Amino acid sequence: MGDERDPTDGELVRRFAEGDMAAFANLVTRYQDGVFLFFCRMTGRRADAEDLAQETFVRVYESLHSLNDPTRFRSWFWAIASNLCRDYHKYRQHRHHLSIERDIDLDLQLADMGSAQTVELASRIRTALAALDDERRLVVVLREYHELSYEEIAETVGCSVGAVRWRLHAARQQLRASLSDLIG
Amino acid sequence: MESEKSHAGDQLSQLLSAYDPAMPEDLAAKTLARLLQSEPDRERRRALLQAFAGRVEELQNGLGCSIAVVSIGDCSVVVPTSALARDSQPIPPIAESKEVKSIVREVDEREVPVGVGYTFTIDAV
Repeated sequence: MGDERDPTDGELVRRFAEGDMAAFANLVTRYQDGVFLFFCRMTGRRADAEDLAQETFVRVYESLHSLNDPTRFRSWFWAIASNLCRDYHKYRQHRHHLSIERDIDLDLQLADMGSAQTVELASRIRTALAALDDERRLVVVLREYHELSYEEIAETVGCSVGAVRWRLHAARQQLRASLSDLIG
Repeated sequence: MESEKSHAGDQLSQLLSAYDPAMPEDLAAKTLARLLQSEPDRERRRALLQAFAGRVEELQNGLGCSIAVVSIGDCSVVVPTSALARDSQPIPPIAESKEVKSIVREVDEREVPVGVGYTFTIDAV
């Protein structure tokens, strides 16, 4: 009987380093939905989220050989995505002089458009996320939507675990205040 | 401050999950196109194409998104067939022809340096 379990990220990274392109394709398949959704929630702009997701994989492809410890791929991957996000926000704010709240898409495409209330709820959440400063939004998105541990977030964004806890606490407080009428 | 353990039952977490954007249909194909553009080595491009072939097919079957893998001289790109069909000029449907004589709509206007007058040969559909 063969080993039918899914290979770990680390195993795929090692296989790619040995020239196995299918291993890289497997990593793309594994992460592409998550990274697109990450950029959607971080930027509020679908077209830009698509571009940034693609760019993330290009950067990963070009620099994966520099990852010394393949078992740390997950935080390394999210660090690349987070850095692209920071560069994007700097560029947009410098070029358009707009806060993210005013820079998001006018329309909202959801996995399940459901009722008008569903769309309104998602729109409220998107606006509340956009109102956070970039670093708070980053930690809350990585934690709430991508379930990274505090340690992984610290490694991803380049700060201490204590700083992650504090930013997350502040972000949640701000979100609770923005969405207080929706929380029982 | 909040503990990590309190996360699961948090009402805010449940509320935030209501913001679930729709996935684009052709992200895998566009990602592959970008990777092919960034890879200078022809053999590695070929390996990339082979590695992604099954996944592009899965995407096509799962989402009804039709994909063409197109060779342009020494370079290959993957395009949603809709990108080839959006122009008013008569372009042979991919299903009927192994060759597309011209394309006037770029797959991604910022990234794919192609235009009218090129000859495209389809490797696989």
